[in-house]
Amino acid sequence: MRVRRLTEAGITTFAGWLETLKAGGQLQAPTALLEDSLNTEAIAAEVEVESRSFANRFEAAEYLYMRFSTSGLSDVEGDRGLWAWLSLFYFDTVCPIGKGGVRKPGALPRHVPEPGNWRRYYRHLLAGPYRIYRAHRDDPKRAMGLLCQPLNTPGDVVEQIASRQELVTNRGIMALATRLYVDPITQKQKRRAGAKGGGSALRLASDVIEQFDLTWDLYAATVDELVAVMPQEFGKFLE
Amino acid sequence: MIRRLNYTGRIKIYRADLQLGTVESGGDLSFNANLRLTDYELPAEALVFVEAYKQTTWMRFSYGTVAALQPPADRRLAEFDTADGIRFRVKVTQSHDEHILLAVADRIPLALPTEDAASESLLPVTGAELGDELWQLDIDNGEPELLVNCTAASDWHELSLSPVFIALVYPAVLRLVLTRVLEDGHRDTDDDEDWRSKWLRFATLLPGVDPNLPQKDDDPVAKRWTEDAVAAFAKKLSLKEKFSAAWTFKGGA
Repeated sequence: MRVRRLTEAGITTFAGWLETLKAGGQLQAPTALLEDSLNTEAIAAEVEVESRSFANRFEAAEYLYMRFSTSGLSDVEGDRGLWAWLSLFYFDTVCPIGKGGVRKPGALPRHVPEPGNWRRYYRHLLAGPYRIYRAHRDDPKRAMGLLCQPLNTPGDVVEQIASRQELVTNRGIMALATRLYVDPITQKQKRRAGAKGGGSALRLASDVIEQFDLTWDLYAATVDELVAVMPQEFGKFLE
Repeated sequence: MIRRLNYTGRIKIYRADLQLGTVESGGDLSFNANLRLTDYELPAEALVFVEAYKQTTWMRFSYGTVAALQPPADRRLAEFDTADGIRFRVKVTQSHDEHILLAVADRIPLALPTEDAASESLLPVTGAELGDELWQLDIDNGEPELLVNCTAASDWHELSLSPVFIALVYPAVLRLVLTRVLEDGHRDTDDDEDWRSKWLRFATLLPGVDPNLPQKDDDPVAKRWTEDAVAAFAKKLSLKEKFSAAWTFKGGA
């Protein structure tokens, strides 16, 4: 299907349906909106997307980056209506029907992005991984620490690191998060990486790196240099 | 509260010594930086870097050394689609170990051609998408910034200047900021480069506010001092009167 953009009216309708969904309403996404001329408008380029599933955030980000990076569109990341449209198009993937036949959409910014809001811009389930992939497009695997998770459950590693601009853009720190928290064989997140205990992403982001950042220019540090100075509590994730 | 320790004696570079602006030419966005670093007693050979950033977009430019600043020939901000919201950092690092940070300035906004340090606002106001909230105070990343919902009105800037908005929002902002500053244990009013000092000084200069700051963070005295400052602020700006006039003019009750 050719990608379009939800208009403000379309976003309002989509957001309204999400609210009813949370209250136990109609499970079927209002996909009729996707080509409705009142609720959508064309974007300035012809971009086609297929209905499909994604194994993880990386696969989705790569797929979307490949489509948009050559499209000639500007400020893709900031296009709220475009990402809301994509969320609706991929709704079965970003909000699958779970146990008991229930969908759990969560907060609105997961489906309708707030690109101007520094507190929430990264939470969109498609634009979030797309931004990270694009920021590390010279070596996207470096960012697996924040891209290995299922699309619908980013979890606490993503929350702790993606919410901090100086971390999510830093090559060394992103490679460190990948080294610490991604199983190199399964390419899935290690157990307890998102917990609150020692060596967790919460400790990494809120205490350790913030402290290092006061004394070091972390943008110049390599992953090996960072690993060498990690406190002992991170050892269990480096084994 | 997590205490952060600055072991290196890292120097804070004053904003008055930095001026960054963008230039648009032929569809390309680039920047110019005017850096005055000679008064900071930094090693002449220390390395200087300028970083531009916005959310997940980031670029870094090598600017030579403290003694011999050398702007790179290519200063295009190619990663950014627009100048809106771009902030800058300036870092000075040791020459023999690029990792050791000697001096830094962060969250530097783009300077408008007519801006100067003396006219710098205490509270930058920015339009942002805030869902169903009309405003938020960004205070977790340093200097407070008022975020106004850019889709709540046809012109969010006009909204932020309306008497109704000012009367309802600004006292609450002042209360939040002063509470945070006092909770942080900050009591210095003389540091012109520290936003906390500037806010405290602003409050102490309001008519009737005790110039002696409360000394304990969680003391009811601190709360009372803050409330006095907010009340004095509202009185000085005649907020109730302006609100009532605007409300009546709009046909409200």
